[in-house]
Amino acid sequence: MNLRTKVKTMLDRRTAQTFVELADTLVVGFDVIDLLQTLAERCVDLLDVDAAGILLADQRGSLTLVAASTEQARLLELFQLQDEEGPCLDCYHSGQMVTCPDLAAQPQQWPRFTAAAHQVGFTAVQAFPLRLRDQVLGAMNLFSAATGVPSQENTSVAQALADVATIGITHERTLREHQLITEQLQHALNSRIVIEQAKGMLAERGQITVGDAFTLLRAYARNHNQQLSAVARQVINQDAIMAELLDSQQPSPSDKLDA
Amino acid sequence: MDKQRSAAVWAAINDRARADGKPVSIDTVCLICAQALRAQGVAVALNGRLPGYEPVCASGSGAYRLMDLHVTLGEGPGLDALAEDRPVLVGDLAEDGTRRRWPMFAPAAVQAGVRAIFAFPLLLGAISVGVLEISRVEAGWLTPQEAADALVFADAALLVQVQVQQVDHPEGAAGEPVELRWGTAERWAEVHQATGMIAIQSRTDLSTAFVRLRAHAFADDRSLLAVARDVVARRLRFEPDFD
Repeated sequence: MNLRTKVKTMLDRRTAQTFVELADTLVVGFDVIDLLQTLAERCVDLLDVDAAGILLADQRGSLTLVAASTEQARLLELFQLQDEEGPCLDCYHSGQMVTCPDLAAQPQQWPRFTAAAHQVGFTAVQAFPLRLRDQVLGAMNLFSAATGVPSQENTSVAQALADVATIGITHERTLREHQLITEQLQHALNSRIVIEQAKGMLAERGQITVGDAFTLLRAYARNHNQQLSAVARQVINQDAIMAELLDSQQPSPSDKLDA
Repeated sequence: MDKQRSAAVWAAINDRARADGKPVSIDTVCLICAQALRAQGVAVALNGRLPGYEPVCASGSGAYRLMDLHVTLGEGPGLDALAEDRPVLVGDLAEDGTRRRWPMFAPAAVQAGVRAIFAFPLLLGAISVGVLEISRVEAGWLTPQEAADALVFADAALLVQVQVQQVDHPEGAAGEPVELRWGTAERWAEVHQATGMIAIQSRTDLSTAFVRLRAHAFADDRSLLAVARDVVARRLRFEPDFD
C-alpha cells in the first residue's frame, strides 16, 4: 500500500467513524444544537477546511447562525453578514452548492463578505444546502485559508454531512412536513437563543468571554451527559450551577482577548 | 424567507393601533392576526405565576371557549406549546391521531365548531410569556407563508407583553418607541448574550434585561445590535435600579 492509499484509508475510516458518531447522536431526546455543533467541528477535522458554520433560515425572514466550529467573534460576524450577502445566502436561495475557490478573483461576487473573510484570513469558501425535497432549511459553510478547488471526494462527504444536519433538524420527517419543519426549526432556533442568553450570564458572572462561557457549557454538558440546551436552562434558572460551572475549569487565558 | 412580508405584518399592527389612537396592545395583535390568517378566533394566554395558562385576550367568538377548554380540561395544543417550547400545529382536530393526543380537548373543540388550531409559544430563548392560539372552523394546515406570518404575530405579542410587564417595575419602559418593530437583529447572537450579561449586571430577569437593552438603544437612537456589541465587549454596563 503506498502512502497515498494509506492516508486515504485512514481518512475513510475517520469519515466512517464520524457518521457512526452522528448516527449515535440521533437517538430519542437528542439536542439539535449539540448535533449541529459536533457536525461543524467534524467538518474541520475531516474536510481540510479551517472553519465551518451552519445557518438556518428563520421562517420570519433571516438566516441565523446555529453552530460554528469556533466561537471566535470575528468569524461569527462573518457568518452573520451572510444574512445580507455571501455564498451561504446564495446557496440558500438557489438550493444549490456554491463553490468559490478564490474569493479575491474578479469579478467579486460578494465584495463586503470577501473583505470580511479576508480580515479573518479566509480566501476560499464552499456552501452546501440543507435540503429536504422542495424546501431549503439553511446552509452549511466551509472556509479555507488557502485558495483552491476542493476535491470531489471532500465535496461529497461535505454534502453528506449537510444531509445529516437536515435529518437532525427534521428527525420526525414523515408526513405533514411543513408543519413539522416549523415546529422543529423554531425549537432549534430558540434553543440557540437560550444558549446565547446563558453564555451572556455565565460570561458576566465569571468575567470571562462569551466564547469561554460556551466552552464551559459544552464541557459540562458532555461530562454530565446532559443536553447543551438543558444545561443552558439550568444556568439561567439556578445560580448554584453557574458557580459550579465556573469552578469546573479554568479557560485558557489566550481566548480572553477574543470576545 | 421573506423580510418584506414580515415588515408588512408589523406595519399592519402599527397602522391599526395608530388608527385606534392607542399604543399597540395584545388586542391589536389578536385582531390583525385573525384578519390576516382567516381565523375564527385568536387568543393569547400568559404563563401565570403558577405553572399555567392565564387567558388575557381573545378575538372572535370561539376563542374564549377554546381557552376555557384548555383551563378546565388541563390539556390541549396551547398547553403543549407552552410546555414544549415549540409551536404545536393541528390541522384536523377530528383526526384519530389528534383525538389520541388530546382525548378530552379534541372532541370538545370540534363540538365548539373548531377544526384546526395552531399554537405558537411567545418565546425568546428562556424568556417565555405565553402562547398565541389561532383557530379555524375548517380543517387544513397553515401554508408555510401563513406559518411565517403567525411567528411574526407571536413576536409582536411577546414584545407587547414584556413591555407591559415593565410598567409594573420602577424603571418602566421609558424611552421605548410608540411604534413597535422587531428587526432581524433580535435573532442575532450578541443581542441574547448582552441580555444575559445585563440580567447579571442589573440583577434582573432576562425579560427585564431585554427591555432595558431595547430602551437604551432607542433612547440613544442606535441600533440594537450596536448597543449589544458594546455590552458584550464590556464598553457598556447596566447598573441595578434602586427602588
